[in-house]
Amino acid sequence: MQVHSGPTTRAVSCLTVAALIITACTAGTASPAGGTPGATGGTPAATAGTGDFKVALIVSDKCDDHSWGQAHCSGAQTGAANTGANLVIAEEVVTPQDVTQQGTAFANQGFNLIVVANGGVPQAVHQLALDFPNVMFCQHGSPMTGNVVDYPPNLCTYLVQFQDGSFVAGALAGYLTETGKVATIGGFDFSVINLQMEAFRLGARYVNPSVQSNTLVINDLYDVSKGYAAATAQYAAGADFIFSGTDQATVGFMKAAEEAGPGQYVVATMWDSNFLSPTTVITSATFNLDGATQRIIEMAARGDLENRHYPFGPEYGSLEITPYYGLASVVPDDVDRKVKEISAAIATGKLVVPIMTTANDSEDFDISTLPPPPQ
Amino acid sequence: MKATFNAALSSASRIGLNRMPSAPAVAMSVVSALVLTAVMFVILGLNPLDAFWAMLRGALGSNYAIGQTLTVTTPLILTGLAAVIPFSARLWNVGAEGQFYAGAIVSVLVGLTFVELPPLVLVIVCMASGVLGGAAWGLIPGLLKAVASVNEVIVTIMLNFVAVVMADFVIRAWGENIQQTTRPLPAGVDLPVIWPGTPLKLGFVLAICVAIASFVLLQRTPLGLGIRAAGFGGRAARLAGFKPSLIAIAAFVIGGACAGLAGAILVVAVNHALVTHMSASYGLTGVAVALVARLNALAVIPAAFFFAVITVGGANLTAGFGILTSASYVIVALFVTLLLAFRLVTFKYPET
Amino acid sequence: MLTLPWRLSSGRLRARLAATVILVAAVALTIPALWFVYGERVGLGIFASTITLTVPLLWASLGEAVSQKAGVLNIGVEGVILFGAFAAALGSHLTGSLVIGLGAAIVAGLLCALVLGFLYLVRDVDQVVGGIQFGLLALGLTTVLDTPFLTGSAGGSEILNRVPLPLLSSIPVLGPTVFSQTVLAYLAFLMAPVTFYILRHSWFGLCVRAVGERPGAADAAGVDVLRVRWIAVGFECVMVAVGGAALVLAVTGDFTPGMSGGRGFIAIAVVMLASWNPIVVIGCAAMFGLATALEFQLQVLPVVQDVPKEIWLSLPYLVTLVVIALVRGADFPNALGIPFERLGRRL
Repeated sequence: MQVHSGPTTRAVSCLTVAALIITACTAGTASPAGGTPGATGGTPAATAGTGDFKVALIVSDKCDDHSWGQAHCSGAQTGAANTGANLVIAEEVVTPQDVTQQGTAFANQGFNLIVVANGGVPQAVHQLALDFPNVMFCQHGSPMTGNVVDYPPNLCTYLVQFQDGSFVAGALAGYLTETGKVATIGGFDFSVINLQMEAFRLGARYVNPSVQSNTLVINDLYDVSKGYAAATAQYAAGADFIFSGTDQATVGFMKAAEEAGPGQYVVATMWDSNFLSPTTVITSATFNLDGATQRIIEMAARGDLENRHYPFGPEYGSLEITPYYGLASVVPDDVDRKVKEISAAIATGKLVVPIMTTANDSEDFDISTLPPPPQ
Repeated sequence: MKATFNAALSSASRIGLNRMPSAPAVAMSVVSALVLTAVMFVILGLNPLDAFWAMLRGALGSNYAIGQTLTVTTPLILTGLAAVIPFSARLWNVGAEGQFYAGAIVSVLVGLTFVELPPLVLVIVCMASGVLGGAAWGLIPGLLKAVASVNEVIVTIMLNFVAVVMADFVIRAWGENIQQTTRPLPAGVDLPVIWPGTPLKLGFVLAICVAIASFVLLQRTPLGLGIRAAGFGGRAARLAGFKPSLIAIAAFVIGGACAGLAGAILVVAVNHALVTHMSASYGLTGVAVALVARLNALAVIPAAFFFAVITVGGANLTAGFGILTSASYVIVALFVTLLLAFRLVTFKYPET
Repeated sequence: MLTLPWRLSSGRLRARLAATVILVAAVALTIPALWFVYGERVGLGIFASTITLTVPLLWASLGEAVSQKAGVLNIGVEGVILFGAFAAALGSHLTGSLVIGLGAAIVAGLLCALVLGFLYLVRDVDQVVGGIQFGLLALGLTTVLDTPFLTGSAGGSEILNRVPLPLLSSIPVLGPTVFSQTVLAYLAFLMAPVTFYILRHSWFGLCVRAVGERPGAADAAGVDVLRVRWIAVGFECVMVAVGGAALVLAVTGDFTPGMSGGRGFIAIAVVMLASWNPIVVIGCAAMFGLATALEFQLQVLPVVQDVPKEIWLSLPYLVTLVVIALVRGADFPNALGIPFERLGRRL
């Protein structure tokens, strides 16, 4: 009822107070940054380039997540640097509607290539490609989009063969597990995540048929507390190797592994994460994810990008797992050799890791159809 | 004498709609919102003028952009109404997000079940079932409020979380596990484009019609009188001849139906399936829309358009300067907070 | 003159208290039950997760209990958690000192109190609507500012050490897990009786309760209603911000956008369930921590793992719904959510 009536004085004071408070909330917390906020602000994501070729990356995560987001951003930055392209990154664009808006905005600003690193939005990207025939779109992260027939001339999809590196990491865990149990923890029940987790479980069973494994989801990719609770649950249930199908929540796994005592390990994914917890991250399956995005940008800059699906297999590093760093002593030479042999078998095509995109698919897979594991 | 919390909230109280806000108050809130947004841009290292211009151009710079902005306006009108109608009865429905997902879930389930129906019929059935789904999800807080005086804020917020998890389940169970989506609806199940060359579809007209219908409902029908009377307090509603409990149920069901329709439109006309993360915070933005519209069902249309301009324009800001899309959420929240602080939307409470 | 709450004489109240106790006990009994069926490691795992998940919730709930008791229904808890967590991450990353991180969170809490107090108490903004907008503002602002100010800091950060309690941590089986927590965890559990004492036995607590029940009468009796509410909101925001800091400093070591993850809303439910009694708040917060911990444990236990996982994932929210329905008609502070308007103040 009461609309304040002494307009000038009170309104001005209100404005001042509100401005003070809210700038205090922003600048106040920011001021210890040292120097002018504007200097630290700006756009770390936007790498200045000189070329006329303009590349946009729309990614579902943040560029510093030590996982999916960081691999894509880093690959895109290298690709842009190598080709002299002008790169702008839009981080944390998750929903289909937001991808559509963001893609439209980039297209309207004359970008030549728009890479969408988000497995959940193939329809949105397809529609964008139809709406903007002069802009090249390339989407990453949906398994089996290779089967999609309808590619407009300006749409491509690519997918790193996550199953390869995950399988190798699984084999490592299968050899090393002492409890005979390995586990996976996923952010969501998404096919691109299941693709990795099921291959890991299969890899463990492949080298050691008595290994038991299971999987759970935490309904969040970032929540470290939930990651901690879930990993604690898995270690308590007897697993000693946990494969991460999450992004930043993996930090919670490491904390749980550190607490659960020696002999509990984490297999990180997408980004070399050993430095986060040198005593628990036995390896990170990186799949050379950044290299794939870099390659897409370089191909586009050369004008070689076609309207089809690009799989990035072993020849592009999909088998890549990082060294064991300080945990090398945990891995006997014998095991290391066998793991490398499995890796070589996949690289030469002798061993083809099946594509499994539904949770628990690996349990039904008949491992006798695969060539026998190295002795 | 001892009134409970809920009774207190619904007893003699009034929403300051009968009086237009004073011009200085409006001006000050708009100016201060602009100033604070500019401060944020400066902190992020942008020239505020460039930034504002980029936003405007992104949202209204071309026919396609306008069409897209109107497409985003569509669900915001409906979630705005999902707030306006219960708010008018002083019932805080912050559950439009959940009702949106409930509508989308039911709509896609019906669409995937009755595939043999002719597309036109199936479109209508899908929309209708979406409305019913949203209404059913709204019925839960309505009933709990009416029967057991349960605080509706907590209930609707918790139901939001539950609905999102349910949507994930439906996507898993009704998808072929190819992507983060259910199977697509049968071909031809879509709303027609009403502005060629843009993505604008019939859903926009539908949303406008619902807004007009809601205005008529609130202002010209006995039920609307009852809802508004409940907003003046339970005693007022009873004097006007209504049972407050029935009003609570009706307001929540109608509000939920509006949000459910938004979910159905997104399923049928935009995604052709139920996909993960389908709502870009439409539910909570709806609360902001309702407040800026000062709980007037017709004013919801321009208010929703205003927020769509900020959202779509925000995307252009990212394209131009690489800052996060979340900047547009800051602007929305800042603007509405200032509207509240300048008492452009006020509520009157009983003496205690 | 003032009739104060906390009367446990009313039969309805006693029945509700009994229902709450039974509920908390039933959920708490699941740990021994699972322990018995699945062994010690599972039981200890649930204990460890529950405590970790409970601590931030406990901080937030204790704060919210005080402000609600003073009649301020702050729905913006979620936002305060985010600002607290952001400030804690920023402070500790810039200086490398976790103590300064905690200090930054407290300062952020006070700033939030300034904004929320301005909205709720000076401008009489509706507390539900204003709180929701504050939450959105915090979510957007911390997300936007995360990139320029905290980029590259993710992960690998130092977190608070666990301090084993001298005697208790040597109790066999339970001791090493339960009595080896961070300082913030011990403080949280310590703050419950402190808050209880303040509310129940101090002059300030009397004022708080009076202001939340009969602000008019309190005003007539010479209590400065607004000042009491300002202090309550300040106390609340600092507690909640420390809860946000606990999330960063004791668990993640880093800020992630939206990391509050609905905890603020659950805190409000906890407070209502606990009938604004800080001691009962411990039990209720622990119950929600347990529900979240079980969410994951149940997915991997044999027998129950064939149930759709969505059931477990929505467990904390469903528990909240059931519980809130149980406390229907609870003894809400009479003036909760209603701005104080002194008779004639605006004439």
